[in-house]
Amino acid sequence: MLKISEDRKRFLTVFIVSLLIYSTIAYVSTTLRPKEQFFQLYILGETKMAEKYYPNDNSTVPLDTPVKWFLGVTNFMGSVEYIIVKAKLGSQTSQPPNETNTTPANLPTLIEFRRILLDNETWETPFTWKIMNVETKSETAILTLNINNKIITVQDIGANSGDNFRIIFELWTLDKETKNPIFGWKTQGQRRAAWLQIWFNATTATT
Amino acid sequence: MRKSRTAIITFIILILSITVSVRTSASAPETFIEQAEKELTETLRVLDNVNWTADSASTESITTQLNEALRLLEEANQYVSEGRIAEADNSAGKALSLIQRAKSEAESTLEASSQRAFQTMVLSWSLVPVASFLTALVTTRGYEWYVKREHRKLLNMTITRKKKKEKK
Repeated sequence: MLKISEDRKRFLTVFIVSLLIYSTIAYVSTTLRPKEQFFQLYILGETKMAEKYYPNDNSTVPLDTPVKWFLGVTNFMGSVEYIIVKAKLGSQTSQPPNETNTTPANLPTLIEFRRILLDNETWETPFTWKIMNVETKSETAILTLNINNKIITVQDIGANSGDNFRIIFELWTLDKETKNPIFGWKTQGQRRAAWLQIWFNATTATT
Repeated sequence: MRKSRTAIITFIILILSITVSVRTSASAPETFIEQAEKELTETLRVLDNVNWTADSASTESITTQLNEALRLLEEANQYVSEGRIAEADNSAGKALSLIQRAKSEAESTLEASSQRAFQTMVLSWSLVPVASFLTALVTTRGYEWYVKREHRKLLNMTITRKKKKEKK
């Protein structure tokens, strides 16, 4: 039988233990650890804080009164992402987006923002809008809006007496497999979605 | 009679060529936009494969160019809806050339980052046995030195005791 001296045994033991420790360090440092992948979608008031969403803090927005919000998205997906934020107009009876089965709201898109975001990057843009005109047809108000200097008339959405309109913001991304825009995003084989809404009333002038 | 027939034929040919040229120029921005969008998704696919070792400054420069291209594409679509074909063509063309430049930058960034990742991996794994050998060597030598020092201490103590006894 091969005889190994005490010194050599000690050397070999330390060598094997070090080998294990250093291999673990090498593996950890060269392999990316899976982290939670998500987006953050937010809307702030005119002071860039979660307050003052309406002029004079009154949710009834008069005609031609500018409302200033800040729309923001942060990418925590760990990679460069192509995002689309769609702003839609809805009323109390409109079906909002569904997070469970990730279906967007079946409402007309007022405006959309497209952006390519780096990992951990936050993109923020002003969202300034005002009600240009309220057309009342048998007590249902139809709005003409000016959003970021773009005039849009939404014929399909009306609210009774101009009450309970809402602007819905949906976050869409580009699906890496199909190369098509999808509502929400895919992470570890699952679909996630982010959306938010702000309610308002429109001052109606009966015509 | 013959002259008037030639004039009519020339007129028809002229009208036809104008129609064809207008149609061609009208379809040009849409073709540019479509091509630019295709190139954009292709660039994103390349960027998606760029790993953590990539130079952040170059990734940032690529996304800046792509965002500018997105702005130009939006502008082009706006011009198309307004029927301003020449302006739409110009914006879409600029967007396409920006995306193509970004794509080639993305491809070189991908190549550089893959190479860097491979080098980092090779270096770290090749350092493992070297570091382990050095650690084992230093530890065993250190242990031997410690044991020898302890032995020397014990011997010194015994000698001192003997000397004390002899003095007595």
